[in-house]
Amino acid sequence: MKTINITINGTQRKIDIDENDRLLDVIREGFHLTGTKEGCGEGECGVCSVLLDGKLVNACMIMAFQAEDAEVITIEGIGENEKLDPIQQAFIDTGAVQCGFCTPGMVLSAKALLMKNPAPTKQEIRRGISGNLCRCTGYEKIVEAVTLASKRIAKTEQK
Amino acid sequence: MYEIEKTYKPRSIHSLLDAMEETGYDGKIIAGGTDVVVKIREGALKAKALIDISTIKEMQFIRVVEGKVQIGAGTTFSEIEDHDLFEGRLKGLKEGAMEVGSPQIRNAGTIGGNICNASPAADTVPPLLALNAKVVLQSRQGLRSMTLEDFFLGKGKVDLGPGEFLYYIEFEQMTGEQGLGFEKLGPRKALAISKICTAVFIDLDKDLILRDIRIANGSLGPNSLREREVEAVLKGKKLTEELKEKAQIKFKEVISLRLKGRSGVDFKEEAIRGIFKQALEKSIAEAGSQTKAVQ
Repeated sequence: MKTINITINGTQRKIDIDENDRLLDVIREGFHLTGTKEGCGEGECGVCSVLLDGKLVNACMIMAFQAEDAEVITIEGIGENEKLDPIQQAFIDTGAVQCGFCTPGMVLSAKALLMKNPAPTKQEIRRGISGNLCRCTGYEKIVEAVTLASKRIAKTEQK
Repeated sequence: MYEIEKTYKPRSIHSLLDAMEETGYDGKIIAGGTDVVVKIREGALKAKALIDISTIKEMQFIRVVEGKVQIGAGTTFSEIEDHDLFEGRLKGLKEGAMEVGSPQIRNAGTIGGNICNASPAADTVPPLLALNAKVVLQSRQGLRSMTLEDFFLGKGKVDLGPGEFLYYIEFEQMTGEQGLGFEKLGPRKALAISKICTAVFIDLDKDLILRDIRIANGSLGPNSLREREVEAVLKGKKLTEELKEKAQIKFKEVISLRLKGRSGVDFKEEAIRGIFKQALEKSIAEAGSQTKAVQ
């Protein structure tokens, strides 16, 4: 066991970890943030996606001790208080959420994409979410949602 | 279930060397974790100690020093993808990096990891082999350098001594009428393990004589490798359609012999002709556009 510092969703925390824990284990079982899911456990499905120091990564492929002193943002950390992030709202409005299992990872992939590229083309969106599997929507609605979110964000920024 | 007892997170090369010594040179180095973590959980890799190098800034760089491009082993695929140096004639390396896994994997995975895992299907390795890249290894005793080709000892094996780690990779900056081409064949866009990936480096003079050519393949042998027999068909000759055809046929023969009795050999020996042709044409276009730019 060892104790590490992690800034999780904006709050600096000390947490005890086992040397064998993955970042995913600590997020779910240490911090009880269960929005981050475990799917395949080997980086194929993307449901465990989180932002680590601003970069999209699979929390199932990073050991917890590697995240020492890092900043982690999970799905619980986006949006403000009771207000959804524009990406989350767009997912609801376009029907991009079906069973919902892939949604947290998809939203974070979209977030990472829009931070880097605020007005992506459909192709760029598909590439941006290419590490996330969805077995319900056929991706069409998700691409639509990300497009809508990017437009809404651009509009708010203009004001 | 797993047996990791100790973990280290050095922030400098100096403390990395200390950590390696402290584990009795038995600690497993981990960077992006995209292969190591999965292997540990599958039981395919046993490690009592892990040493994370993902936050050693000294190992994260892309720079040009005295005509040589140097890439720190801790550089991620995303960093290569986003760097201006890999526009233009070094695009083949960027294309290799862009083929790796998914955005998540490219953000975490490193070029050093891609090399040290010695997977037969590492996407950035064929372009580096075609560029005749060298690896620079560091230990307490200092630096040691060798060609990337010699560094590979077979599937999953590299020539890394107990106190050594891969510090950076370097290759000559491309000049004159040189071009690099890359092509990959895989089953799905993202996350596909390469079925075949090929990189071609050419140096072409004004009369279309191939002053030099280096061809490297992934997924067609125990590790990524140079295709010297095919190179021999082309080197020093004038680049004609006929010669290209001759090289394609040679390539098919070489692969057919090497993969004899393996699954997919029928498909691979045929596919290599097309993949090689595309990579070659890309390298020619790159070299050609440089020629025009010079004139």
